[in-house]
Amino acid sequence: MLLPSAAVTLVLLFGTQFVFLRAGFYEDLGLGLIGDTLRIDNYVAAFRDSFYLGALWLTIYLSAIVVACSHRWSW
Amino acid sequence: MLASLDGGDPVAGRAFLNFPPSSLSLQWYFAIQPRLFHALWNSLLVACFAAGAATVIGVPAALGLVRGNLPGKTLLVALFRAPLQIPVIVVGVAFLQTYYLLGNAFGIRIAGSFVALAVGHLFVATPYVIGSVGSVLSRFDTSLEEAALSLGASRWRTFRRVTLPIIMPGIHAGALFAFMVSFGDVPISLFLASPQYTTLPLEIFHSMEFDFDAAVLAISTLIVFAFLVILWLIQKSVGLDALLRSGGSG
Repeated sequence: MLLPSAAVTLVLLFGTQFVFLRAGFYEDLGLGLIGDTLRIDNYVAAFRDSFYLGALWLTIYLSAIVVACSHRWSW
Repeated sequence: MLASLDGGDPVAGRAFLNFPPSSLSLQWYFAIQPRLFHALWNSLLVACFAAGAATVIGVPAALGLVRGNLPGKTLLVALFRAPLQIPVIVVGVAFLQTYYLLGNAFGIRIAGSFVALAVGHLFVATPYVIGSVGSVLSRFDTSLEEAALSLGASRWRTFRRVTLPIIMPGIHAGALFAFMVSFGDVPISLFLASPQYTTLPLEIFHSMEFDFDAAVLAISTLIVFAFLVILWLIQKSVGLDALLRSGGSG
């Protein structure tokens, strides 16, 4: 009984996440097309670009505030 | 809601969003564009599909997780809850990438279709059903089933006449949560919807972002009232307390 449900969840979870993670290591050619060469340029760009870093910092900052507030108020 | 009833203030040069409203009017309710109703219809279709399919997948999963004596059960529970741990925006991008890959590699072009959108919603809606039904099942008194079996009922008959009615509030609650999660979703729809299958929250998002239209406030108010009516009907039929008791925390 559990098997079909687990199979659907497994395919949807790992299938999509694998494609997503794999795309991070190749050049993006648009509309889902990726380059041939394995590289880490996308990661380097993400950690060098002040726009991405700013967005990442803001997300972490907001999340931390939410966690702190919800901890405080849920006592 | 108040802004949707604003009659406008031409003297001040503002047509809407005066607070407090300068006059009351239903003009924005009559100005709701057909595209908003079309988007509402799409949202209802997608949410019904997501809730229905999540129930079909979630109920057997919950039964298996709670009743089954499986090795690696903790891992399976984590697997079924994983969609809630991944940021929804990542889910949207990952599904879009996968649909493009399916199209490019296998010729299965479903990006932008109803199925593509609905499957994305189904993915995040399923854990709500599993959590809700699992919560009821974990408090289930199995002696009721044993009594039915000892009185000669078959396994299927016991499930249909004893188990199912008892876990039904959990199923209702899970399906309701799944419906609401799907109906209100923006991040996934942002990537998976197409102009033909735009959902209402997405239409509202675009409207607020690009060309603000007060009719959006009117249709949003109508939806709030529609949901209140649905909740009232549920309260009248099965009782909201029964649904809330059944959990739904995922």
